[in-house]
Amino acid sequence: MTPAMNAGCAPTPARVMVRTVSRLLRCWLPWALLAACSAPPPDGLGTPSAVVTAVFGERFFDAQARSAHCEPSAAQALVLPGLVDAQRYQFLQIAELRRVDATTRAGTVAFAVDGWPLSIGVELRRQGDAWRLTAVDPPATQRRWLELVGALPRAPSARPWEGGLAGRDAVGRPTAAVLVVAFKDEVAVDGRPVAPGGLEAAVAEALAVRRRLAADAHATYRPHVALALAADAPASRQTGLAEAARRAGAEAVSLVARGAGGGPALLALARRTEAATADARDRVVRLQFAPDGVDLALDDRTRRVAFAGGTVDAAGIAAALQALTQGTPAPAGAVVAADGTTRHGEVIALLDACRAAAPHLALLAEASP
Amino acid sequence: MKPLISFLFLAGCAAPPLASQDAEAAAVALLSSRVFEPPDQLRPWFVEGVEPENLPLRLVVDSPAAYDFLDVQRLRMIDGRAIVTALVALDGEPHTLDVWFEHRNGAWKVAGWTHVPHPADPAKPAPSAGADLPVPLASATFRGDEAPPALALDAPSAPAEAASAPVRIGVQRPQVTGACDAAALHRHAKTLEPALERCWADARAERGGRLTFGLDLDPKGRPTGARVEETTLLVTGLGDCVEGVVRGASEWPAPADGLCTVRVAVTFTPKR
Repeated sequence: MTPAMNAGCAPTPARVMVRTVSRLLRCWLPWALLAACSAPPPDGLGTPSAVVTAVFGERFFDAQARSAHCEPSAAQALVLPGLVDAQRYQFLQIAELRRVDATTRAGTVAFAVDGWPLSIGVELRRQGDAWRLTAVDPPATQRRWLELVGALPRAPSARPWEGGLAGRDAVGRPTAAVLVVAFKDEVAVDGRPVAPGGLEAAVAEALAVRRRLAADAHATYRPHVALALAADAPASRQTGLAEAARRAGAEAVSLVARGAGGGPALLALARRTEAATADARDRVVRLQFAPDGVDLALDDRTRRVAFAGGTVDAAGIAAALQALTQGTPAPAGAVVAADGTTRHGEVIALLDACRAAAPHLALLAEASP
Repeated sequence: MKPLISFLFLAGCAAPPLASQDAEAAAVALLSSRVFEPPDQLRPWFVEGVEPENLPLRLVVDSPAAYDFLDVQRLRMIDGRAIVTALVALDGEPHTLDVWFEHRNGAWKVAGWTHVPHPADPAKPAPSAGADLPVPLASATFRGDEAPPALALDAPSAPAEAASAPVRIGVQRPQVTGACDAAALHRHAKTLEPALERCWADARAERGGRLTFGLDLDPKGRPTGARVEETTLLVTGLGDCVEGVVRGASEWPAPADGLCTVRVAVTFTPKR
């Protein structure tokens, strides 16, 4: 080929560009097509679970990102991001999304605040190919959960617990204990509100589900109910709920408290049984609130521990227990009697002080006779 | 070049990479169109050790034509697993079946299932599963739940009759003003009988008699006022004790609408 001939085919900048683009297309077109047809829909919200993860996941505190997947009314009702900060909040998982009809899903999303697993109700609807969050629990409900976490009594000696306030642990597993939450006017069993008068039936049903599951799974099971109440609730409410739980079939009753690190903890209550004879009766320390302190009694000995700054004096309780039990066989338990003016938090504080001073003591809280 | 592009296009679209999908999308992709593929082709969709040929959906229908995926009835995440309750038609009849997926090597893969499909009604909203979950995943729920210690506290005396309270309590049907359910209130008031027995015993009352208490309930069924209105039992402490019992009794049946005032007569009859 002569230079003259070659001159007509000399690569101009335009030709080079066309050739480059053509090569690129040939190389990358299959992959582009592959990616296009295998990727989720452009907005990534082809499934309800994708929407839930997008709204409650890593970008929970990005209002713009959230609202892209929410109806305006739902975005407005979702007040939770304004009530907690990113350090306190953790998205856990979809607790449940149920099919209501072909275009509607309803369910609950699990999250944790300060290490406490909680949940929020959600509703999603399909609009075209995409799903959107159309409703969440009312703002008052969202506030109430957080308020309760802060209002739970403290019990540093209580056993750490994996459960939360929605009847599930942090990985979404139902807790062995049926959870009864009584806060203000609401009572909920395993996170679901219960109508007045329906508590025993709801607890019995929740116990029955666990009993059947345990039997099918060949697991050891004891009907167990955990009670979560605010520290300022009347103690009579706790004893009333415990009695209701036992009537519904619970063998074990525990009290939910904030443990040593502020996270979920349980104080297990003893099971009261009837002694066959007077001699078979367990020796117990009885604790009774007095106007200015707490009276501890064992056999015919008593000690009074004054309130320290208006609250239970844990060190004083420990000293009184030691004084009462010195030189005698160790008592089997401690029974706190709550009268009409006693607060739940005061009972927990006494139980916790007893547990801290004498971990072997079986603990019981009863209504004052 | 064109055939190659077409081939790659088809291959790409026919086998969506699992890693790009969430668990629900993976479940829908598998259950809607791939259930009856040869086991070798399905194996990447299953965790190691779980055999595709054992998937119940492949066993309970005679032919792929008798199977149809309808929808996801329920999705739950438990311990990192996605538990998908699939709504499927088997021989034209709607059923549900639980299939669970685990995230392995960047993809959601079938890790197990319940063996028996259950009849279902797609027209009805799926109820909440509550604490229910597939049995193979249940045992961990009960791990570490300790038995409560027991305290033997009561010392019953020998004859059963003597062990019970020395008084018989009769709670009369309440008189109500307002939107109260008298029968429900009566049932609730009767649950207070043991506490009323203790009041009588603690007050060291000896004679029988009648006591009528009044009770005001708010719309939630909470007592806003409780008082002894009349009594033939003039025993120190008894009235206060009864008031305390009535006021402290939680969860009275709530008035259907608004407030309610209740009067309940209680008779105390010594057992002699």
